[in-house]
Amino acid sequence: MADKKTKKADVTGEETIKTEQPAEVLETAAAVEEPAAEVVAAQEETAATSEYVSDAFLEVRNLCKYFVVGTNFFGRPNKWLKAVDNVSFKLQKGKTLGIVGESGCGKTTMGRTILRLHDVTSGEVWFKGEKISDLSNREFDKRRPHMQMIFQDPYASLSPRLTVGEIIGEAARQHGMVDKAGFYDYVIEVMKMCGLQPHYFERYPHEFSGGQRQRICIARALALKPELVICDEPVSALDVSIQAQIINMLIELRKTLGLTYVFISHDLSVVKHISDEVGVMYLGTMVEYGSKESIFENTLHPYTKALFSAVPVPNVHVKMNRVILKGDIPSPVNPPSGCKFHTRCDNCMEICSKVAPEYKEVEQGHFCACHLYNSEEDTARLWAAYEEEQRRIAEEYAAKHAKHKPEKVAEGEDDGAEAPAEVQGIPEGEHSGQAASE
Amino acid sequence: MAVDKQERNKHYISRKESREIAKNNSKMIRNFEKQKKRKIRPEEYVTEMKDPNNIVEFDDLHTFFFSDAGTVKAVNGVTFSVPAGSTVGVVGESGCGKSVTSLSLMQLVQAPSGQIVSGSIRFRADMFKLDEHGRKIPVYETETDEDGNDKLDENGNKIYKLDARGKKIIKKNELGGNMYEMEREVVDIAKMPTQAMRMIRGREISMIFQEPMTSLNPVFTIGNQLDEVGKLHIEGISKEKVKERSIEMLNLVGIADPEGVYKKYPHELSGGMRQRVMIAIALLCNPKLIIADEPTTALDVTIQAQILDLLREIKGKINGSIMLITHDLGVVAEMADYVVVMYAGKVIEMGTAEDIFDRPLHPYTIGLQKSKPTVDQVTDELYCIPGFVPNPINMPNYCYFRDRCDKCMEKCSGEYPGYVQVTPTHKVACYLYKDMAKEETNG
Ligand SMILES: Nc1ncnc2c1ncn2[C@@H]1O[C@H](COP(=O)(O)OP(=O)(O)OP(=O)(O)O)[C@@H](O)[C@H]1O
Ligand code: SF4
Ligand code: SF4
Ligand SMILES: [Mg+2]
Repeated sequence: MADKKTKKADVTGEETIKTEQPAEVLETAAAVEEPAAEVVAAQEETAATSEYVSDAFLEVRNLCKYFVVGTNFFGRPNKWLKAVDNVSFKLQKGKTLGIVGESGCGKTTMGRTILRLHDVTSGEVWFKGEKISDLSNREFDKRRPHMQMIFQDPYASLSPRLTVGEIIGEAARQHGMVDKAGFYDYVIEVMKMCGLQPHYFERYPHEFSGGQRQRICIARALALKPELVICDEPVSALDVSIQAQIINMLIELRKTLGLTYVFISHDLSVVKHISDEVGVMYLGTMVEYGSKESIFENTLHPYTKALFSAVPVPNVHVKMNRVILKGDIPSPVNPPSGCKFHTRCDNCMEICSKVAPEYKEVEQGHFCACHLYNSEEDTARLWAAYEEEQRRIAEEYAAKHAKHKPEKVAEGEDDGAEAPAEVQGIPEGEHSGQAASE
Repeated sequence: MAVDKQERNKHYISRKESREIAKNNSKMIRNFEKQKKRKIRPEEYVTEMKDPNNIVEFDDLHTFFFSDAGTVKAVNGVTFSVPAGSTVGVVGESGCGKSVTSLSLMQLVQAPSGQIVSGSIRFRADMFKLDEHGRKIPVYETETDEDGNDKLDENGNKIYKLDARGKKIIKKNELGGNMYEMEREVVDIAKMPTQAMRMIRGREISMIFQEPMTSLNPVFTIGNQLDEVGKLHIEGISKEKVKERSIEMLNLVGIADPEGVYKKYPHELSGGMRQRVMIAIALLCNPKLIIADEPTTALDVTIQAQILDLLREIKGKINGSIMLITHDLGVVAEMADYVVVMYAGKVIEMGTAEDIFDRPLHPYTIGLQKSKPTVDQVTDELYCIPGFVPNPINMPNYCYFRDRCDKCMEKCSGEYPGYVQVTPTHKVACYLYKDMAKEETNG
């Protein structure tokens, strides 16, 4: 099975899958063996709402992707990197969702997890009313052509041994979308759409510039007639004048083919140009989400405000009163407690460092996770939940210790290491808030 | 398919041709290398500035790479200057020769294939005075009276302080290094032998690169690396003094815990912190000019804002100039006093930041600005410059931008357009404005 998959990945040229899949499988295998308490908790959460049916074109519900980054003495995972932590959004057909955020905030991982290039740790992904996160691999492969991804680096993602025509058409042939006789015409059609000259068909990717390679990557994705395209920093490696060519082309294709995009980028100006909806991520969490207009005109979250004001504007007369954030982006392996942004936030309050804010709808269709927008009752409820949680952890910890006391010292240490991981867990409040907002 | 063949043939070189090129190249390169290794003879490279307010003047600089496929004219006649105390932004797309221009100024172009072929780079430097043997002349401690004037003996000579072994003591400068006799000179870096260049590099001009990880050595601590640079450039500095200086610099670049960072290894720091360390290293010897080559391209926007803020602050503190190389028009607009726009190895437009951003003239500059979406404006479709940069090996002899230009006229197929001085600060190389200037004089 694994063998077959590898071969296919090679043919379609998506080498990234090939290289990352095995490691991934190993990691999750380890995680499945001994599901950690918090992973179980998250899974139970989603199981509780299993009657739900999504009406959106693409919906992501409480999606989590944790990577195991540390194991204890017995090889059991005890440390997770929460690359994507409880992210939810809905996207309608033909719309573009822009995802912005700084390095390490989990943008790429989210895109890849939606397409199941990573296994889902917990949460649901719905595509056209179907829960694709639960499908078997074989079932999912049938739907894969409808969902394609374009990668950041047009140099790494093209196989050097295949001609441009083969690269573009091979996956379509694999999926039986075109026969041998029609192959050439089919590929030429796609190439034309992406602004590639027909005589490139016989050439090899290394003969092309970055911009043209990115066109080849886009053509390869579009040859499968997808409905959803996840673009991961598709123009970041390109020059400004070439960027404009590619962005215009993506917008044109969206119109003519009715595509839906998830457009991941760290470049706010590009995201603003292309998106209908915008999501802002920080350390794996969606901190703000809404229509482009609401996000840019009525920015709510302090991080989004700082991010927007940090972008240099090519106009010498705009002297921004810039919010310069102090400090560095914390490591996602060990994110700050409570609100992950509290170490850099100018508005930080007492509750911020202790309780993670709820992700809630502050105004129609505009979500934000920040305690600044809590009502008094919200704050009181969160504090109460926090204290309750603390008490529970303390009790559990004490109980465990009592139980294991007679055993060997090594065992005791093991439990000691596990307890803090639990303390970091998502407080109950966040989940209930999520459900309430829907 | 026919088109394909033709296109391929244009760049095709036979093996024989390639061998011919290689032979010629090695002859040229040998010559250039010999030039660089010659003895220091100041009279060969000391010159005059065109404008005494400048700290650097590039004058018709040509830097080529002699490759087996042909000569890459990476910098092909670049002329601009950096006024003292200002920030000059050099913008342009990938491969336009921004980095090679700045590397030429440091004499760090990748040899042997890369060579400064002609032109000059004038730099106002504080050079060591040399005696007849080419050695630096130290300044010794002398006996002084209460007013700080030298005491003289009966013959009118200075009285030197002597150490325990009866040797003269070399005076220390404000950095704690040995003091030598200096003179302010204008030197032509393009004609300087490598040995003389060593006195300028790192001490008078220092450089910050895009990816700080590649310029920091992963096996040494940050402190080690700072001290090493300090010891190299501040001759005679003591061990304690050098550490003191390193920590002072880490403090200056806004590192909260300089003592801690001093002991850390590069990989233990974040990208932003590493870039701060690089800036600290660049500042160690109080340089007059800092070259920053895409200093924030590898960083996140919020970290970029911190580093740009730091660079601005530092420039004021050390009273130096910055040559900022970037492809990001936003960064230039924010930082630069003067802007130089490069395209395919040539400067196509230059002026003050207001000139370039409020009244861009060259079709390429205009296109570049229109093709970048901005956060504060909404546009339906981005303007896009069609086509690609021409092949650097076979540059045409007409305007390099002709094949992509929407204002192209018949005249544009003539020879490469010269500069038109539109205002005292604003220059552009384009036929559109030649005409305009003529009309004005006619009418
Ligand atoms: N070591 C080398 N050998 C051969 N050619 C080189 C070498 N280094 C640079 N070049 C060529 O010189 C030209 C200018 O390169 P340069 O690095 O100055 O561009 P740049 O403007 O700094 O681009 P970027 O924005 O990508 O850094 C390019 O055509 C490049 O291919
Ligand atoms: S929750 Fe608190 S720390 Fe977090 S962004 Fe809001 S105000 Fe700042
Ligand atoms: S000289 Fe002619 S081709 Fe060149 S930029 Fe000016 S108008 Fe365009
Ligand atoms: Mg460069």
